[in-house]
Amino acid sequence: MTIILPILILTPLIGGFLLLMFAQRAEDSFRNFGIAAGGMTFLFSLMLALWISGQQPSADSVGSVVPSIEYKAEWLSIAPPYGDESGSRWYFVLGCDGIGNLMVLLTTIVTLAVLIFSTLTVKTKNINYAGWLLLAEAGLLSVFLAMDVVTFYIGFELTLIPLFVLIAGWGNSSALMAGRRFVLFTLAGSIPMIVAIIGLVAFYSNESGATISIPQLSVRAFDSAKSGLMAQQGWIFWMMVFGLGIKTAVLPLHSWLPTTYSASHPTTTALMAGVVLKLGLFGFIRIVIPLLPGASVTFGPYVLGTLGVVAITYGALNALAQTDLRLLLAYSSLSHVGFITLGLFSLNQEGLGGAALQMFNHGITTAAMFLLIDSLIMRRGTHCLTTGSHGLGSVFPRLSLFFFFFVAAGAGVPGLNNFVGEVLTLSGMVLRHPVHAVAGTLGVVLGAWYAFRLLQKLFMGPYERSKIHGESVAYDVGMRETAVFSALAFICIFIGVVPQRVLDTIRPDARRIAIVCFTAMKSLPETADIEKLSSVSLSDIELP
Amino acid sequence: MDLSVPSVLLDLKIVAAGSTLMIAGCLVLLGGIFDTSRDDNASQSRSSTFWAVCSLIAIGIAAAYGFGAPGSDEIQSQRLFRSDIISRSSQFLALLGGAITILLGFHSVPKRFVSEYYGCLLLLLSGMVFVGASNDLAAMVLALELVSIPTTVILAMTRADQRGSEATLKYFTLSAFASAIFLLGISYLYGLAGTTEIPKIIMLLSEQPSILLKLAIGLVLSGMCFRVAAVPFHFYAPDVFEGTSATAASLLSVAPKVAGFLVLARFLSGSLLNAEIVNVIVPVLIGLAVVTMTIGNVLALVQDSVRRMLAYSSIAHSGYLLLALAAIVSNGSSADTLFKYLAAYTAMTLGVFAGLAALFDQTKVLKRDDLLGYGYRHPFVAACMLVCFLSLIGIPLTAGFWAKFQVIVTTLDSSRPELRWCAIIMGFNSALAAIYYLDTVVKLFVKPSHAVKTAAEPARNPAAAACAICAAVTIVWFLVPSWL
Repeated sequence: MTIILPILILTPLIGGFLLLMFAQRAEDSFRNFGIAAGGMTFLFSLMLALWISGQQPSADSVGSVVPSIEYKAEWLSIAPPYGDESGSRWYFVLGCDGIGNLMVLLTTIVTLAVLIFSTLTVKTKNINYAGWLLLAEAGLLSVFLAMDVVTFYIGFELTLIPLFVLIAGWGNSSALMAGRRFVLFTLAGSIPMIVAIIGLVAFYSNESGATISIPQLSVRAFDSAKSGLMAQQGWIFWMMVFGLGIKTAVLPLHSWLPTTYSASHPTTTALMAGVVLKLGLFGFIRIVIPLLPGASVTFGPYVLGTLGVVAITYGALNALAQTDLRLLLAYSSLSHVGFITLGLFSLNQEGLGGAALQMFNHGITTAAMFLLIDSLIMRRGTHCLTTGSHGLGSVFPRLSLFFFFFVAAGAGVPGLNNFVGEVLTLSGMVLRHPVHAVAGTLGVVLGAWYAFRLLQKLFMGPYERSKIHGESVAYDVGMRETAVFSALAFICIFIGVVPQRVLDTIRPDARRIAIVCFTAMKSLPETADIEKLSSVSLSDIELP
Repeated sequence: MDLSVPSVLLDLKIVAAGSTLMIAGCLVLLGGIFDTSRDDNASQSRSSTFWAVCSLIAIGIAAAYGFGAPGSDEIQSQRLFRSDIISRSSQFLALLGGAITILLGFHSVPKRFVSEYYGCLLLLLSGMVFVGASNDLAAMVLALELVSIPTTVILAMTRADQRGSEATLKYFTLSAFASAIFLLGISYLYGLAGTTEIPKIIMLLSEQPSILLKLAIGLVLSGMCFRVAAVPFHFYAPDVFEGTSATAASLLSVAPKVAGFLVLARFLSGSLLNAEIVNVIVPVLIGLAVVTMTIGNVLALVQDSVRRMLAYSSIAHSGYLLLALAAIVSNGSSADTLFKYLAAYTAMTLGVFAGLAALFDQTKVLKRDDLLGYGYRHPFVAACMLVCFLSLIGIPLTAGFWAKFQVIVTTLDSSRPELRWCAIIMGFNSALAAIYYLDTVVKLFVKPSHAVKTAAEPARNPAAAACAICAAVTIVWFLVPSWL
């Protein structure tokens, strides 16, 4: 079964290379090849998910990151040019736990949806688009499946190249500048991040040598949290937060996001907002919090929590003021990501689990929204909220139904996916920081405001044909679009109605990370009132 | 120093690769006398191919001798030359860089000086090998001159117009100046130690330093800072890079830098330096490193000319190397990191130069916008250049990643807290460097707004091959770092 992990990465990788190498000459016969490769990857990830959900992770490991499935490629190893040759070989190790699995599913689902969609709306060099998209998927999956810091970093960097091509190659006239901005912003964070990663490995190297494996590092982090040896973590923490924060668009580092989202092709934006934005958040939950618990506990709730609150409000208010649909969604993403950051840095089981679930939910909903925008632009001819046609509900009933559905999902209507995640996240926040929780709730309200305003302007009321931009396509959503949106809607309903299936897979991981944070908090002298800060559900945890 | 014939012969055996290159260089220079084709246009290209192949064969033989010879790490204190990690690295760098440079400059060899050009190139390479292997001050000084004099000649030969002459003169004057400073420092060292044997001088460095010794170290460091184009001595680099031919510029970006770091590593690495010397020299090196990398990167950012940009980029890389050296001195470790970085740097920089040489005319002042659209005309060369540029940025899947990685590891290994901040500064500097590298390489793949009127020239094959070799080497070194 473990072989499925490399297969998951190799399928899109090989598919992408085949498309880019050979498909130029025979475009017609390769028309649906990309969808086939993406579909296969999705099926593999589904198999992985089903397998993991039936798996009980071993209880004997005390670290905070315990993969339920691990694949170690003995045949593929690199001796990094440091230390002794034997001890520190870098094996290509892949692994997956509940949270990673959720992200893998998100990646494969969104990529498949985008692949199907791109056959409709990407007009030029469709095959190349699919090829680069598959390469990007391979890069993203290698980050989510990474079980050592070097693989994580390499995947993190390599994703940039296909993404740059996707943004710059298929966007509007300013896409090249936007792509440049995105890549340079990310590099500005991620190249210094390698210093932090090396510092992290050096920090946790002991008499049995250095290790780059995340599970082993997490065990050492737990030991250091128990003994309170957490000084000197600060600079590593801040360097990591800087690098991951740029990718996550944590507030003062967010300015690449609106330009990139509005300049690239909407299908690309769906991938960017749905999955790529989660890379940084995933880095927080996989590396920063489990491996640097001391610094996370000291700085996280206050600094990053506050930044999250600012992002929630700032993003929502900006979204309210936008007339460009894509910018509106970009700022709404900013707001949602602030919400997730807040959940992550409540550092208890509810907050972490809720944030992980919310990463998935936001990915699905936002990707669907951007794809809907793509459908809408195809029909309406413009992305401007005010100058285009209004009252489209009577003209495109199915499109407006899907719009209504995903807006409702994004706004957190009970019975749909975001509701579950938001409730969990908010309950985590209330325990940690009630003031932040109030702001988080405010974000939810503002989110509903701009979302329903969008709905009202576009679909409600009598039909008014725009004088400037006429409709370019007169028919309602076609079969492929309906299939994509229905599938995504099904996922939203599934998680909304039976969240337990999903929550069961991420609970053990969230719990382990929460235990480490709890331990770190106890050994820090300055946080005296642990009882107040610790979550209710943690009280039944017997600390090892 | 034993200068009897058998002893010198034994010395030459230790540096078999260098001796082979020197003999081959002399033979090529002499052979040029009998080359009658220099005034005959028809046979010129044949003769240039002949000498190029001869030089490549010489490099091959030197490699066979050099890597076949058994290496021994024991200090042969009576010898002129020694064989250790530094000398083996110098051999490797010289042979690699030499082979690539010959391919790179093949089509632009000055027609009237074919054999002279290759002869000087081979002598220069032998000089690089000798610098690394030298175990004696006299040998080291001579070897350094063996690098710098042929460099000047090549500068003068490959571009004979006004700009070329200016560049040559500038380089020659400043190089002589730097040599003089270095010699002054060396003479103090000799005076203090009473011998020219380097192992004894290194022993001197482990004792309580006198003020004269500090002065001597400072002078040696200044002399070498010129060679590696570190900041207070960097200003010649952009002018010379832009003024001279592309081949000479590529040579300048590698040969003097390698020679300079070989000398510095010989004196400062792996030895038990006195704590007081360490405490003086490490802050100096750190300061030089930080200033060099920052100024190099910031100035590279604002350059429009590709070659000036590469000059400042080479200055910035000197900064990273100086940081590695500071960490090595502070840790008292071996200079391994330095040479691995230099090897990766040689491959990626020469790859970029080779790509430019394959696509563009040698003497042209190349602006960034001139690169527009070339990726569609010559996709293969452009792809190889992309790999080299990504390596210069330090993106994974290229050797540049491990090179930077290792410098950071070495830096963070140190017990000095200020070195940690330097690692962070280096991280941000690399991010800054990404801006100009990326902007340049992306130009290759952007369609120009106006149609380019001139017909696409065919890529020059030897240079394209050099570029491909560099790209391949860059990727292979990522996968098998132990070959670095």
